[in-house]
Amino acid sequence: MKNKENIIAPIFGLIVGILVSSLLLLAWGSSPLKAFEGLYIGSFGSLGAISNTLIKAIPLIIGGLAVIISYKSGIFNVGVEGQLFFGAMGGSIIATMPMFQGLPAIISIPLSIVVAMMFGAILAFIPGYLKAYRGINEVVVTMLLNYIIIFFLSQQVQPGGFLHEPGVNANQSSPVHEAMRLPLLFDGVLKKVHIGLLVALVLVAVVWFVMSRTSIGFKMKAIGMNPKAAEYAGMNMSWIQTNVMVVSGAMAGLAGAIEILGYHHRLLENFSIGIGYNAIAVALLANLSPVGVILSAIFFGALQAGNNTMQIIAEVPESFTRMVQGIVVFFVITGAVLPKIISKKMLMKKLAHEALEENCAKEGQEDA
Amino acid sequence: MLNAAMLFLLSGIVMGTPLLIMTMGGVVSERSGTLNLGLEGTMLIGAFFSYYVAITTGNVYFGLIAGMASGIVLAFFHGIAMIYWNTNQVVTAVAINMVALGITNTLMGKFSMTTSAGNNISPGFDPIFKIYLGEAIIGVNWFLILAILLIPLTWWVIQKTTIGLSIRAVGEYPTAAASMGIRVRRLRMLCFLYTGMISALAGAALTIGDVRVFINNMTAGKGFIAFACIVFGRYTPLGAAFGAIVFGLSEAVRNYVQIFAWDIPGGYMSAIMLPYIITLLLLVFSKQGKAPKAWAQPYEGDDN
Repeated sequence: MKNKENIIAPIFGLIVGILVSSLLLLAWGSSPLKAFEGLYIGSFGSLGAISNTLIKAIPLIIGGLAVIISYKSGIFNVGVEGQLFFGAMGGSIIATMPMFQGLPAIISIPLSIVVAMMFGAILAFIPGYLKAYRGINEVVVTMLLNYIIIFFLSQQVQPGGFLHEPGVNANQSSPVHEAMRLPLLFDGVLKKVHIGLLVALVLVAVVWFVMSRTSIGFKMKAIGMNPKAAEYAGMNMSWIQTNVMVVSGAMAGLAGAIEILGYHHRLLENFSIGIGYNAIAVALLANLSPVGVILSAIFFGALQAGNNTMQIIAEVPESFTRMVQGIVVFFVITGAVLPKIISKKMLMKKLAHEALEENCAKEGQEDA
Repeated sequence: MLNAAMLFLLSGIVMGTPLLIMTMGGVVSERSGTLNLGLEGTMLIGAFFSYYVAITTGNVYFGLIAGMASGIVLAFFHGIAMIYWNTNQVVTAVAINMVALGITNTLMGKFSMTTSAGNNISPGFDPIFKIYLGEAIIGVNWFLILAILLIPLTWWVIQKTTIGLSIRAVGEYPTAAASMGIRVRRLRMLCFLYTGMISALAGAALTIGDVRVFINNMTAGKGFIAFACIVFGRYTPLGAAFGAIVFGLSEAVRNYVQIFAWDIPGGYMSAIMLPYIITLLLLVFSKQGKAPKAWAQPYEGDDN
């Protein structure tokens, strides 16, 4: 029964979201069929397209998991965007600066990833602590930090910044050391898909296991569902929430490092703008199920991978896919509550009807 | 010296105008007990539609009305889900902001496919007077006057009128308010729509009231900054206005860095970051827990 509800809301959200977006496209004088054809060709139409989709899905899976663990513990990490960027910066310190060039890959890759995770964790600690111990809304703090970090990253890859590639005018860091690029999977078939995909899938299994099979996962869910009861039961809510936020930030930092080491191979200004927000959409479409994240990340990855082809074929701007995401998420949220509302309304009607009938019957008896 | 200080303060207030307008709108819905994190979205969509309609019709007033209407429409969907169907208030706002960003980017993308770069300046409101900052000129128009009028007006409505009393009642003790015959959900929804309209107006102040072009995601977090100002101002119009002016001053610093080539560590990018950092610090060092008692709690009772 519970599983059924878990699937209905996302499917309702997907269908209604895509319908509404299509209607908007029609109203704006574009053909939705052409747009979705372009999206399909660009995301699943060829092996290259599939490889693109999977690459886009990797950070979304990890980011989606980061959102899920925070959300389930009653603290909403909207800062995956900033933590991912900050983590990518931390990872790039090891991966692009000349002083670390000589290290063997077996040391330097894990080192870079650990530094990235620490950067993400530190950034996430701030909103986590402020929310858990000071009651400051975490959404506002993380959003402000997102902007600060994105500007800070731009500053550091611009001429004069400490990560800037010396002697180059563009806003970018030096390339990632040859030895530190992540190995590719399925070499020759899906060309650019790197080992980050495996990392993401392992992480899905770990999060699923922790959330559903361990006592710490149980505590997290208890706090998320009913904070007062959890506190009454002796759980240290503030401590757990702060730590969940730190872990969530570390995961976002990991996603950032994987993007740099596996795909971009250098830190760029705005290299992956929006991944953090898309990760929220991924988590919500998956209805906060760690396993569902894989499917929903592939769906949103496909939307991004198909962007370009859609723009060329249907002359619909790339940002259309972002609109689809927002609308789908909105209807997933409402799809989750509407059945309750409707059944409540129907129950009320039924009760009112019964009361009326009873009254009529009584009056009838009295008349007789 | 005094003159320079006055000039700095004045340019701070001018820079803070859109935020000042938005906080005055936001205070109303926060006081009625809803967590409104959708300010960013309504501001963005108001900024876009006021620009878009102003440039396509050539009439700046049509633009203004269209912008405000678009804010109401977006707030309507947000409010229906959040207030009537009790969806999670934070998540709904995140989705609404995403929708606003997507719609404005897409429409702007379509619009710029058909327009040449030189033709994208919309009509706008002419300045009433001008401030001279070195070589630069900052035009001041009636949005500033509106913002300044809104401060006492909002305070008066919330504190001194019957409707204000009802708004405070549904924000503090919704069940008690309902027993007095106030329709909690409807009143919260009305406040919410008003906030949507005013924050869209603040968006219009960014486009047709100032630069006369629309840039993707041009609000750049101002909705969240407005929310931070309201929390910092303890949910009162006067406090929130003070927060908005502090924000405006930190934006003025950025202007000064740009115009007078002030040398600060990190250069211009640091100046861009400054307003966000100051807002964050304001939030961290402000006294928490002054929110209305039923704030961010969905109303579970029945409405007649």
